[in-house]
Amino acid sequence: MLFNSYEFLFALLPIVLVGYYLLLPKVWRHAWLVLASFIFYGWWDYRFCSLLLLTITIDYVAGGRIAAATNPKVRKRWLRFSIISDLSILGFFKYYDLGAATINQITGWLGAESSLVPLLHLVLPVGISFYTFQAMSYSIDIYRGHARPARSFIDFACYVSLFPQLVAGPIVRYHEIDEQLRKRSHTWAKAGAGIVLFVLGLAKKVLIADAVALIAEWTFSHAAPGLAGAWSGLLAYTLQIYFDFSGYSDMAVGLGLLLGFQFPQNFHSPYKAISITDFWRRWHISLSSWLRDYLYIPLGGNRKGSVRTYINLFLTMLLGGLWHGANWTFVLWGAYHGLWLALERWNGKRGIGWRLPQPLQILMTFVIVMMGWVLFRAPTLDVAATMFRGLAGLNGWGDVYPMVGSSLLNWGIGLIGVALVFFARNTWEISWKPRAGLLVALAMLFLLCVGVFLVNTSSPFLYFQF
Amino acid sequence: MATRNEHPNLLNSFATASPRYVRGWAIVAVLFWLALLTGDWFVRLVEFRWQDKWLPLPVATGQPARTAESFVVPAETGGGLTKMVPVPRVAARYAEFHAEKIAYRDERGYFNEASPSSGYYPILMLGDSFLVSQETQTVAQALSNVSGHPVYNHGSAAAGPFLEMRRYLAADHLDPKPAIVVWDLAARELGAGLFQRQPIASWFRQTSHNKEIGAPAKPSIQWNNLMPDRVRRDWPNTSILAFFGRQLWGQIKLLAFQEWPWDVVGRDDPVFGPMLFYRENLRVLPLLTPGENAQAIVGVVQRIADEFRSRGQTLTVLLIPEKEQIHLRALSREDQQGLAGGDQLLAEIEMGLQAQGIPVVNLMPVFRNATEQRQRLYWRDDTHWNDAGIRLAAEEIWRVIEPLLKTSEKMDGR
Repeated sequence: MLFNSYEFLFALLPIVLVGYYLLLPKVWRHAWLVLASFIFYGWWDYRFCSLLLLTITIDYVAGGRIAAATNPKVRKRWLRFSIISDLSILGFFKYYDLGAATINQITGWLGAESSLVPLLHLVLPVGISFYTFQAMSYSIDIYRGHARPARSFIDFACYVSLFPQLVAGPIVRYHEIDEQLRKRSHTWAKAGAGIVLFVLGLAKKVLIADAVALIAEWTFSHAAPGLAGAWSGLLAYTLQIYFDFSGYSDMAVGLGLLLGFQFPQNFHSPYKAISITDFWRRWHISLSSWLRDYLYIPLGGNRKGSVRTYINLFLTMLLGGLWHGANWTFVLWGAYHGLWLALERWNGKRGIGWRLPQPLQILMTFVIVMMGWVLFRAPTLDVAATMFRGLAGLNGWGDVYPMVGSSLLNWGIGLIGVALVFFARNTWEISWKPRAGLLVALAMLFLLCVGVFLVNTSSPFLYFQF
Repeated sequence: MATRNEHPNLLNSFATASPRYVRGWAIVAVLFWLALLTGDWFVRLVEFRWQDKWLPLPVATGQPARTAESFVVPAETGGGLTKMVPVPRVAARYAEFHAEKIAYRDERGYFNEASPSSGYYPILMLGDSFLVSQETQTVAQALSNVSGHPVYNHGSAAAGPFLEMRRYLAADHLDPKPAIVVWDLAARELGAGLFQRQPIASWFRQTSHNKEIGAPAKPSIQWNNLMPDRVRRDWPNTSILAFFGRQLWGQIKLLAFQEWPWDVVGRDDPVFGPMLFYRENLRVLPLLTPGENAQAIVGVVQRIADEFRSRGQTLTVLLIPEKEQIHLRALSREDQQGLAGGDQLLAEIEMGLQAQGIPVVNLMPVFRNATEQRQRLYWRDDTHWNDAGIRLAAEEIWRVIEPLLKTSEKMDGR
């Protein structure tokens, strides 16, 4: 189920809130949220729920055993069990087919006539990367002594499966929410701020991301995009991914507040970054900090000399890229960012244009990030190569997404997106007061969003109502 | 690598404002949302009656449901498609005058006059909205006029090709059984997937088995219509918010950008002038390709025809082209290319059925010819046929079934 769907906004969410606040005793609230989260998750495919339950069970048991054990070897054994189990599930469902296809391709080059490893064509469970990382953080936090074990299985299941952040983050680490699971306040201030954040997030996703997505899709499905088409399409995708993802994060934070939770910030105007190092302080913060604390630092971080630091940065980003998807394009994207981070570390954590005026540093970083998005968006390396050729002008000037009729709206929204990205405060920076004008504006915005996503729903059977 | 804010600034703004004011603000916001969703659900259940999709459908039990009636359908300007054009000024260009007419409903709610004195209908028509549509008469009435035989119209709108067949077989209320069963298949329904998903043959057997053991057909909740994929489609289609949203967006697109909204498209036929087309047909028809598609459909229809044969009835298949396929010249070049395979699909189905000895009436070539002769067979503002189309269809059906009926009468000694 998506936040920007009718079934969520007009069915599940009201039922959840009514049950949570009006119908159920407080002690049942977490169980209620677990039930709602499994319905939310199972809406895609009910079979995914078993996998989620398995991950929850493994880490709950492992975390409990780690906390109960006094022998360091036993603690380590349970930690290994947790990590290996989680990564095995993630690896199998997300990366098996990629690995099998790669092996078959290599053996094919070496002369094998038939496939060595069978492809299983596994359906990727939605959000598995997010909840696996969350669940793993529980065992690791307990092992490190950063958190206490959960009070109950239901509490832990609530933490892992909590629907606001289940499928797209922010990745909430256990020690960040441990205290809130035990005791948290439910205030009108949280509810009000939650409403504002949710509606703004919805607008970012529905009004901006989905509108510019059409330009991006047009470009990336073009056989040979020209210079103008490639750059405009890439800019559109750059906007789309930001407004889509940060909009979703805003909605998650808003929903969390409605339920009394405070989730961490996930985006902080990333396109205002003056270097790639700065970009990763602002983009998908919950992932970059997870990778820093659970991968980069255990690899040695910057404690083992310059060369190891560069290698660690590169490896962290390489694996971070792979975390995003089972495709070599993501690995290359991770490697691309890893190389930039290593280069900037060598340059004293400064961007390559550090001597330039700040607006130019921002622009330079923005272009570097855009180039990375080609790898991120392209379904294959061939498509990425085609896009790069278009960006370099090797396909000529070429076509652009139509600039007639209602398509003009998409261009206009794209321009608004650019202005918001570079010149507006982000959703965590705004500090609007709860005034009547804000309420009316939000109501209109919400209505517009609902109208837009409902209009875009096909209505193949509408005619037969008459 | 990362820096984070502990809280959104908004939280501080709201926390430092007057608690009473913040509470009132949040309550009004929630009430606005609740009003929206309550209103939308009210309309869904009361007006759109979404629940009819999954609550047990009324099953014909063989008992009369109501008294037969005739009623006047008042005259109006504009058909089904003009109602989907959100700007009245634009819709008016395509609207036709639909004269006042008399319609009949029998005891079961079907479009028939009172039963004939003999109580015998030698011809039964099963199908969808093409059987219900009428200018001055339905196709069943036209066939009755052409043939001089009573024809029972067992059609209903928005039903697809299978529902009325199942209802007829469940009720099996026409006794003696009609010798000829004309089953209408509109071109947009000719997807092999649709046919193969319908377990019609097994359903036949189950129904006859139930009759043998005397087990009543138990209505049960249609759980499959409550599954996420169905709900995801049904809820936006039964939402008043979605309806108004589409209307508004349709107006904006038409007035500001001169673009047609999603569901309907207006074009000028070089011969017949302004005509409205159903965009869903333009989307669906190109997907219905000949070849394997036709073979699969023939296979399913053959099983159904065999079942009817075992009941002593002759199934006759009526293939109805869609308006978009007949008025190809009015469409864009892209749409014309997309719809080009439709003739072949219908022709292959026709040949396939004939090879199996199943009578078939393919209206495509007849309608094409008539249209070439500048005879308009469809409404400008509706997807269905007008009186000219209905009369021509009735004549074609009678041409095919007349010898079948004579053979049947000889065998029965009537």
